Amino acid sequence: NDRTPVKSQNSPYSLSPLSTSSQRLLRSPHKATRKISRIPFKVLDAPELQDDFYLNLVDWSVQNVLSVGLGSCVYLWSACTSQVTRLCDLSTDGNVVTSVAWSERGHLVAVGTHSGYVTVWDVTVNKQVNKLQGHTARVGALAWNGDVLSSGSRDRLILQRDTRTPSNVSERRLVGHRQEVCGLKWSPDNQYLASGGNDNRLYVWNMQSLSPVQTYTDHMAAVKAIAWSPHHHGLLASGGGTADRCIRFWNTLTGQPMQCVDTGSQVCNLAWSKHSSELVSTHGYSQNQILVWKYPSLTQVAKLTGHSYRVLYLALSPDGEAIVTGAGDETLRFWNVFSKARSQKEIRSVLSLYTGIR
Amino acid sequence: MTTAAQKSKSAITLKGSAQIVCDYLNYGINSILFQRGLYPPESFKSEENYGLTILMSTDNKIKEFLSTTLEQLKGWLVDRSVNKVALVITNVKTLEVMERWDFLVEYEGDSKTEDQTSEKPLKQIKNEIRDVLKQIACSVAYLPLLDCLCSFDIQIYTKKDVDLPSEWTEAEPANIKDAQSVRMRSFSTNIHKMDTVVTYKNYN
Repeated sequence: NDRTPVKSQNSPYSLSPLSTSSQRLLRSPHKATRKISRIPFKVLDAPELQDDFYLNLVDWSVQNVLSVGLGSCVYLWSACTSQVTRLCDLSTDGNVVTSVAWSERGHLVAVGTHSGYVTVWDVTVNKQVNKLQGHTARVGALAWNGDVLSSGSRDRLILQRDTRTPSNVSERRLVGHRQEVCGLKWSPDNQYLASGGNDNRLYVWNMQSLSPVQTYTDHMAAVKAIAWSPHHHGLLASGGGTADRCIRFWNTLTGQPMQCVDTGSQVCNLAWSKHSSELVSTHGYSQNQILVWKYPSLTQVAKLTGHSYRVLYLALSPDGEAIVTGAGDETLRFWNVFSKARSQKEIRSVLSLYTGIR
Repeated sequence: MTTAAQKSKSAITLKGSAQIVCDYLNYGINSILFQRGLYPPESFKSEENYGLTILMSTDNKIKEFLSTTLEQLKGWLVDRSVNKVALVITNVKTLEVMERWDFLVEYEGDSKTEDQTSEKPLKQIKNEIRDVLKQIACSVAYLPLLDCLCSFDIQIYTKKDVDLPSEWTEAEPANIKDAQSVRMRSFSTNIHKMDTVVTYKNYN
C-alpha cells in the first residue's frame, strides 16, 4: 500500500492537522525587508534649481526648516507649516547661490556664492549677520562646527572662519586640493573634517594641522558624496563621479580602506541612517536613482526613481526618518526611507497565540 | 535670469550629446541597410530628419535590435568608455566579412568635469550630420555590389575595463582582406566627435 504524499488541498484524506491556509503561511519565507514607499510623500516645485554637480543647494535644519538655493535667491520652507519665505536675493550684484548650510542649532544659515563671498543669516530675525570675503571663486561646499564655518571653493582652498563678530579666532587656510572642493563633512565627534575635490581626492583634516592627516586617492572621479557613520566611530563613506561610480568605505582610525561597491552610476550624495545600519546614495545618469543600502552587507534595500535629472542634492530630516532630494528637473522630492515605525508595527499573524480568541 | 554664472538653458549636456550621436547612428545604420540592399526595399519607410529624407526599416526585429544596442551605447558614451562602433556586413554563406562601417568616437572638451556642456548650436551639429548622411547615400556610386545574401552585426569597441552586459559577447575584430577605405566627413558636438569610415573589399 503506497503512502504517497498527499497534496495540501482541502482533502478529507490530508494527514496534516493544519488547514491549507495555515500550511501556506508556514511555508512562506519570512519577509526580512521592510517596505519603503517607491513614491515620494511630497513633491515641491523648485524653479531655477541648478543642474550643477559641484553645488550643494539643499539643507534641512534641526528646527525642521529646509533652505534651498534657487538661482540668485535662498528660500526657507517650514516642514511644519509649509510656509515659504525668501531669505535673500543676490541678483543685485549678478551673483548666484552655490551652497547653503544650517548651523547645528538651526538658527543660522550660511550661503555660499558664485563670486566667492559667504553670507551668514540669522533666520530668527531674517538678518544678515556676517559676510565672509576671502575665496576668489565659487563656494560650493560648507560645513559648520559650532561657530566655525568651513567653506570649500573652486579656488581649491578650504577656509575655516569663526562667524561670530568680532571673532576671537583667526582664519585657517587648508591647502591640499588641486581642483575645486565639492564635498565637506565634519565627523560626529566634531574632531575631523573630511573633504572631497574634483581632483578625485578625499582628505581628512584635524584641528591641529593645516595639512591633511589622511589622504585617500582611490576614487577615479570627483568626490562630492561624503558621509561619516553616526554609529561606528571613524567609519567614513565616500562616493565618486561619472568615471568612478563607487561608494568606498574607510576606517579613518587606521587609515585603511574597507568595502567598495560599484553602483553603476555617478554618485552625487551619501547619507547614513540615524536609526539603522543603512545608508542612502543619490545618483546621476542614467537612471537618476536613489539607492538605500544595508551596511555592512551592501545589499540594496530599495531603489527609488522619479527625478528626470541627476539627483544632485540631498538632505536628511531632523528626525532621521525622511530625506529630501533635489535635481535640475526643478523638483524637491521627499521620501520616507528610514521610517522608524516599521519596527513597532507588529504584523498580526494568525499564528500569534495571544492576539485573538481562538 | 542668465548670468555668466549659470549655464544657458540651450547648452548641450553630456547625456544630450550622447543622444545626438545615437540618433545619428540610428539614421546612418538604417540608411546603410537600405543602400547596401541588405533588406528588401519595401520594408523601409521614409522619415524626415536633418533636412533629409531617410529610409528607415519597419522590421520590428531590426528596430528592437538597434534600439537596445544604441541604448547601451549611450551609457558608454557618457562614461567615455567606447572608442568605436562597427557595422559589419558578412556573407551569410561564406561568413566572409564583405564590408565594414566604422564609427569612431573621440572625446572632446574638458573631460575633468562632472558637468560637461557644449554651447555649440544644435542646428550646426545637425548640419554636420546631414553632410555625413548625404555622403553615406552617395557611397553607392563606388561601393561594390553585394550580390550575395548578407547579414549585419554591430560591434562596439570599448576600453579594457568595461563590464560586459549579459546580452553581449566578445567578438573577433572583423578584418577584410585586400581592403579599401573611404573616410567620410566627421561631425562634433564639442563633447563627442564622430568619424565615419567605410572599408570594403578591393576588387581591382
